[in-house]
Amino acid sequence: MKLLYMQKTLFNAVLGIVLEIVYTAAIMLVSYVVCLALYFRQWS
Amino acid sequence: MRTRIESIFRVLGFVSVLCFLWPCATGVCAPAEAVSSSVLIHAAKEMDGTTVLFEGEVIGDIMRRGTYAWVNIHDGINAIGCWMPFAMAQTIAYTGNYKTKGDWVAVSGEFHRACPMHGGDLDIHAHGLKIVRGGQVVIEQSDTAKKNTVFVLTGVVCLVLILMRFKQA
Amino acid sequence: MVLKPNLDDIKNICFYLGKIMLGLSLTMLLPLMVGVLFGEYNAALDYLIAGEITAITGLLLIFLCRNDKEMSWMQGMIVVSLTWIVAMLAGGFALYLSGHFKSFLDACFETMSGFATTGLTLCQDMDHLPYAHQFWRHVTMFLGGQGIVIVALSFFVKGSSGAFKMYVGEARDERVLPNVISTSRFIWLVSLVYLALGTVTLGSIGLLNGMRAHNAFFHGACVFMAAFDTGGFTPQSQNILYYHSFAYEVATIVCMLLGSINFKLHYQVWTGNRKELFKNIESSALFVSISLLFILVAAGLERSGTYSSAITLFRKGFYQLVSGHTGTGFQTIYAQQFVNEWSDLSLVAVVFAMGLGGAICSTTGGIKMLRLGIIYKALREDIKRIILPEKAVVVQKFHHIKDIFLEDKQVRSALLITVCYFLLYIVGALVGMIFHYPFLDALFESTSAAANVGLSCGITAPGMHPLLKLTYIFQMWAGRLEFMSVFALAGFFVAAVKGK
Repeated sequence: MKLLYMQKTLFNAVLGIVLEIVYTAAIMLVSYVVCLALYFRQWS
Repeated sequence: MRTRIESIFRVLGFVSVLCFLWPCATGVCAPAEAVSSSVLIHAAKEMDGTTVLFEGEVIGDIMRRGTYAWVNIHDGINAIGCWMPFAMAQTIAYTGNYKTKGDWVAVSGEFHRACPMHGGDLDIHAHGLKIVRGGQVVIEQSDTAKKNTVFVLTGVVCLVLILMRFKQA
Repeated sequence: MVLKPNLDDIKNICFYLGKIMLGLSLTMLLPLMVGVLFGEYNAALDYLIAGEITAITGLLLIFLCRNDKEMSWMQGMIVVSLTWIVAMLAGGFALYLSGHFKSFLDACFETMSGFATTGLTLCQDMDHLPYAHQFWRHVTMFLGGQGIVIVALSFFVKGSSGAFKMYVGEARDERVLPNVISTSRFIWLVSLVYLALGTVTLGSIGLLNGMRAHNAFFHGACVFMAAFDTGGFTPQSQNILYYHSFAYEVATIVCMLLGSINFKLHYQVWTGNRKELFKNIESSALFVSISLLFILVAAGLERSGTYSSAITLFRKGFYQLVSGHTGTGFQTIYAQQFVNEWSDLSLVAVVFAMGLGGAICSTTGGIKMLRLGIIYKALREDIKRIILPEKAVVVQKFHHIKDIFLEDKQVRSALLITVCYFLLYIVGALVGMIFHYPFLDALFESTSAAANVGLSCGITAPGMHPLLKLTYIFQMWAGRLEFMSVFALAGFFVAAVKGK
């Protein structure tokens, strides 16, 4: 039971870390899209 | 007589071409005077795309990237990254850190204010490197004053701990 | 009627200060070990000397002022504000002994910049600084980001009522867990887990980028500590530009953004409440703020033609903005390039970003996202009150871990601290202008110091006037502690003089 609880805690923590990194990636992606949009406007 | 004069002119012409080509062949075909990093940074727009001569101490690591390498050179004011063939970078014997004084080198190359190849970095694409002064290992001199201070302070710490133990008892 | 502080107040303050100083002296064992490991015996001696002086002072304070009295709010705040001054002096002494600082004031500036996770530096010949001193510079950021007092709380302070008062005094009023000691330990757990992951990631990238193995991982650990604790120190004078690596920049952006997330939010996400990351007012405010401010930065840079492509705009423009917004201060451009190449629009956007900061109960400085969110919600509520019929009942909520009804008390507190920050930014800018710097440059540097960011446009240098150095030290200290502890200390001295 204790082992199952520890596994669940570890799983939640790992998934949490992954999600936080995805959040940071989303911020970067939105900003990169802004860069592309600005330069696309310039080229066209 | 005429052939002799022609041959003299041919030799002179050959020597003058050699004098022009030789510096370019050795790779130091740049302005004679080194430009400082503060000039490069302040006048970056004006100097963008020009060939410059930059001198300084090699610091940190020589970072190999395939057949090229990044060499960061510090002229006493700022450090600037130089992108050069790895074979050229291999001639550097010492890089600067606490224990070593790095080689003092003169690099000639194209200066970029915002290099398109390197994500907008301010850098120099080197096509010539010359070791002006070799670096050396810096031997750390033992500081006797600091050692004596440590002995005295250790004594004081022990005294305070003993006093505290007595008070508690 | 203002009561004069009595001997018991002073004894209580000194007792807890002594405990914290003892903890501080033990942290100096870390750079000492690094010095011994790398054979830098002079540097190791520096930490032995500074550590022993701090330990002796701490032990004497504990010995002379031992008592079992409970700590009051005033005493807690004063302990915190004095701790930061003492830590600056103790840590600064060790750096001063290195010989890489023009004066003791410069070394104190460096240490305050470290503990306050600012990142403005006055170190001379940084590329030849011993590993031990480099490590200490970065460890001060790791300790300061978590909270110097929290370090002590985790290991030295047993009772929890005084502990909570000190915890709040260090600008952390979020209870992650019911017990403040458990909260401190959870904050350490998050930091250490990310330290392990971050060091391995950055070290591996460094190794692949051609660095020597020991340098790659040493730099990885140092840069991670500076990134996650949104500090901004690096082991080389060129800052992040030294690495010339897009992968390194992306990894540090991730670390900076992780460090700017509320530790309470980390707890929620790590324990399974993953939706909180998207519902929380702070994480949404940060996302929106960075996006909107980047549009301004990008528009300014594109108009001035500073960068020729989308990727260079991202690597330079976005990097500097995120570095400023998260309060880190990493730079991939030279300080003078901000002034010479960036348009005023982009600079103003970066100044705004620095001033706003990240989340509450994170490692960042600035006004912070929760306050921005509360002010925005209060503005919305007032506009609704005007638009809707008079008899309509207007209720505004915001989501921060749970749904909270917006109250006047919260809005008042948010606005008060926001006004204090704005005043601090402006006063610092005025002092900069007194020393003949242009307004925008002075405002940039002042905001950077007060919001504990560390981006520099070139004003911070060893040749800076001592009064300006003192101004920035004060700004870093006051900004980090969010004013209350500083006001408490000032009030204490006023009471000592004028009290009855």
